[in-house]
Amino acid sequence: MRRRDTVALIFGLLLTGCALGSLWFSATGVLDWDVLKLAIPIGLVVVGIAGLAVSRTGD
Amino acid sequence: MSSVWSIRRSTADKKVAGVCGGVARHWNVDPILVRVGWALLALSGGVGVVLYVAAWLLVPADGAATSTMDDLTKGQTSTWPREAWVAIVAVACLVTFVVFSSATSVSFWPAVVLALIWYFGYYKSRVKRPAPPSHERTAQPSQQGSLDAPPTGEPFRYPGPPTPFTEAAEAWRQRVEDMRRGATVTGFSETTGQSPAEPTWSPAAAPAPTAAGGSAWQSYPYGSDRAAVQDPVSPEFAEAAARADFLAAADPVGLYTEAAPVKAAAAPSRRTQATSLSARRLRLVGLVAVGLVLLGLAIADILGAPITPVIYAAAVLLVVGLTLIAATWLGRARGILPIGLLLLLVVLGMSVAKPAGQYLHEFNYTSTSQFPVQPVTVDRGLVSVDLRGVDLTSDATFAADLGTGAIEIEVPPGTNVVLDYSVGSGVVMDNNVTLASGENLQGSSPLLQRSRDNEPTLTLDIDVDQGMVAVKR
Repeated sequence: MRRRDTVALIFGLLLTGCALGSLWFSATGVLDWDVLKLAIPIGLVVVGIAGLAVSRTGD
Repeated sequence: MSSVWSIRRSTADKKVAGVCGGVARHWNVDPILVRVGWALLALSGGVGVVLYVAAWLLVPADGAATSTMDDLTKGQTSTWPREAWVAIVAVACLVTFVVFSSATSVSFWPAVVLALIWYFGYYKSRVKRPAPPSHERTAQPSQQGSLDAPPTGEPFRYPGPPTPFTEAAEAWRQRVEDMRRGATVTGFSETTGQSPAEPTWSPAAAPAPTAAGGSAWQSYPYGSDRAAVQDPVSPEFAEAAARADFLAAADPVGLYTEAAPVKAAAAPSRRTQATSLSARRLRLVGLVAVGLVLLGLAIADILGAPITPVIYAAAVLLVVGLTLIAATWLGRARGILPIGLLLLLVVLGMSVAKPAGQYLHEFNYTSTSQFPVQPVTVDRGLVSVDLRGVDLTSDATFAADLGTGAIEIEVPPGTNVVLDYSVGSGVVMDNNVTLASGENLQGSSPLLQRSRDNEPTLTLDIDVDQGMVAVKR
C-alpha cells in the first residue's frame, strides 16, 4: 500500500480551517471568542489525531 | 521542444480560426484545455481576444506559406521582424487590458491562474523529463573527446552509492590500470624487447575492437612503449597494439552481461513516476478548481455580491487546503504546500490589516422619522452619528448599541439633549469633558444643552460594552 502523506493531511486541514474561518469572518464580520477558544484546541486535537491515524495506517 | 514560431493554425480542428487547435497540437495537449485557457485569458481584460486575433492574422494555417496578414498586405509586412510583431501585440494587450479590465471586474486573476497551470502543468513537467541514456550522452562531442584522450591523472570515481554497474566499471578500470602498469614495468623496453607471459591472454587471439573508441585505444601505446610509436613495424608496437585491441573490446570478460540488477533498480523509479503523475494531475485539478472558484466569485461580484479581496484569497486558500487533503492519498506535488503557506500569510494579513474605512460606520439623519426603530448596532469600530440636521418637533430618542470602539454623536444646536448611557468599561465625554470613566458606567446625564423650556428633548440612549461615548455640540 502506498504510504500516505501525513504532512499534506495536517497542513491541508489547517489551511482549510483557516480559510473557512477567514471566509466566515469576511462574510459576517464576527468572530466569537467564546467559540474560538473551544474550536481552535478541538480542531488541533482532531487534526493531530487524524494525522496519527493516517500515519499508522499508511505504514 | 520545437520553437513556438513553428505553430500553425489547425485546419482539421478549428472552431473559429484553428488557433487553439494548432496550439494544442503543438503542445500535444487536449484542445479543450487550450480553449478553456483562452476563455480565461479573454476574461482578463480581453487579452485573450487580442492574442487570438493576433494569432489569426500572424500565424499561417496548415499547408499555407503565408499568414493572413501577409495576404491582406500583399506581402508588404512579411519582412517585418518578429520582435516588431511581438511588441505590437504586447502593446495591444496592454491597452486592451487597461481599457477593459475595469469593465469586466475580473482583473488579472484568470491570467495568473492560466500562467500557473501552464507553468506547473506543462512547462515544468517538460523541462524535468529524464535525461537521455548514458550511451547517448557518451556520443556527444565533449564526452567523445574524453574517451579519445589517454588516461592521465586521477581516475574518475563515481561519488554515489555503489551499484552493480559502478562495481563492474571500477573492476574494468582497475584491470585497465593493471594492464598499463604491467606494460610500464615489465613491458616492452627497448633494451630487452621481451613481453610478459600471460596465460589468459594471447595477442593473436585478441578480439577485434568493437567499441566506439576502439581506434583510439588501438593506437595508444602504454607506458614506455610510447617510443615504439615511432616504429610501427616493430614487434613491440605490434604487441602493444594487440593489447590495446583487447582492452578496446566492448565486453571481453562479460562484466556487462548481468541485466537482473538493472531491472531491480528500475522498479522503484517506475513507482515514483506513477506517484508523481497522480500528484501532478491533482495539482492541475487544484489549479482548475482555483480558476473556477475565482471565476464564480468574480461573477458574484459583478452581480452585486460584496466580494472583498480577502474573500478571493480565502477561497483560493480553501481550494489549496482541500487539494492538500486529497494529496494525502494521491501524492503531494511540489509547490502546493509553499503556495498554501504563502496564501495563509496573505489571508491572515488581509484579515488583520483591514482598511480603516471598514471600521468606520457613519450615520447621518435629518429628521426623527429616519431614526431606526431598533437601536443602531455595531460590533466594533468607530461610529459617527450626525444629528445636526435634525429639526426636532417632538420628543425623540436615538438608540445605539456598540460592542467595542467609540461612538461620537453630534447633536443639533439649540436642542435639549439627554444622554442615557451604559458603558461596561470606558469613558463618557461631553464636548471633550469627561463625565464618567471606569467600569459599569450607567446613568443619565443632566441635560447637555437646555435652550429653552418646553422645547422637545432629544434622548440619546447609548450602550457600549467597551469604549467611549462622546457627544459633540
